Amino acid sequence: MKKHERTLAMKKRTVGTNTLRIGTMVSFLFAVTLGLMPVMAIDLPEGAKVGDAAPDFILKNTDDKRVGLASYAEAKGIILVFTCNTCPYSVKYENRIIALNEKFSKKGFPVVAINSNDPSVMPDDAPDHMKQRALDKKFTFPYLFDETQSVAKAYGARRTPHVYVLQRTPRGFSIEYIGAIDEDPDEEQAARPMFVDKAVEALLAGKKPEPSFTKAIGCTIKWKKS
Amino acid sequence: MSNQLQTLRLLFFGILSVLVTHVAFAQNAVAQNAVASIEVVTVQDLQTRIERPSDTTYVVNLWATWCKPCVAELPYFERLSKEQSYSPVKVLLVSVDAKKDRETKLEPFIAKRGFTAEVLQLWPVAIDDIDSSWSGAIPATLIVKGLRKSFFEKEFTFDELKLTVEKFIGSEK
Repeated sequence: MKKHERTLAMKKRTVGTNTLRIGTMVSFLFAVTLGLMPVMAIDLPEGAKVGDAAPDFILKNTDDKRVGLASYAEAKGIILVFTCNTCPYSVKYENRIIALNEKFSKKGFPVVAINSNDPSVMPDDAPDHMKQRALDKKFTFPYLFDETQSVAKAYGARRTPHVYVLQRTPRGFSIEYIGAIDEDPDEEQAARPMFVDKAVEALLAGKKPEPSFTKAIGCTIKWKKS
Repeated sequence: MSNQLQTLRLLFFGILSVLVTHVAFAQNAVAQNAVASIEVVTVQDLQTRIERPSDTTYVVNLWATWCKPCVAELPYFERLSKEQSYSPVKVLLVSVDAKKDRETKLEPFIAKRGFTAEVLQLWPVAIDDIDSSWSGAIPATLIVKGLRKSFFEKEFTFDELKLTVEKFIGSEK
């Protein structure tokens, strides 16, 4: 393989005359120095970390009412899930998100779902479609639309699904877990580590979640094109 | 006269059917060739392959068959792999599809599209080992040459991709 790639490289080098290559280089460098290169990566703030205060927000739910952290004055904590209608991984996890709310809302840790995708990139993530999904799946928790994407940015949410487990402190909510629901999207392992489940159980028992940070494959959040 | 016409017609259909069968067989052969070749690699395998002294710039696209934006940009990577550049570029389409989906989804998907860029399947998907800044969201793209590395957790248009790779190559001192 290595050999093949090197010969391929050699071939590419000999193709085209030197003048052409120099020409390309010069025009390329010219473009660089003039700063004509558009900024490629979307610069995303790093966002919140485990242990940080949970950024506050007020967003519109599918019933048009506004929901924020202040709506949960009685809660011990919140399971905040960045998700959406369109990501196949979010769809795979929908029932598990519903189950988390079933299990933990009565113990003081309700689920709050947030969709931060830009509907001009993903039309099926528009508020009307969110309403439909909430109805179809009988969501027992708010499904909020982060229209300006400021909430996803404040939390540093990057993918769907992306979970933040918050715990009440005397000074508001703090972030105690960031990451995946589990690492088994297809529910193939009976004994898979249920990260969010374990994190909430730990907090309920007065302990710190372990692990408190995990990563998993998901879809990118669809950022507005600037 | 009508007999002659009939013979001609028969001859015509005969040739046509032979042609059709040939084309069908040829396509089948191409499809089967493509299906056979998707290799499963670990992050370590991948790193051994791309992180070494080389004049080749590796463009590693992390994608999956279920990810629509990934599928939408695959042709740009295919095009990049075919286009002549002043510095050698090797495109690797690295799928993070579930291991069980290799034969049922991944291989038929690639065979159908007839991509010529090399396709690999990553398993297990050790996200941090690919790049510590990767959240796990796809599509994502890693550009590597020797010890230099850039990571992008985003979708590309073809022009953006080409410029990004050229910028990466051009930034070498």
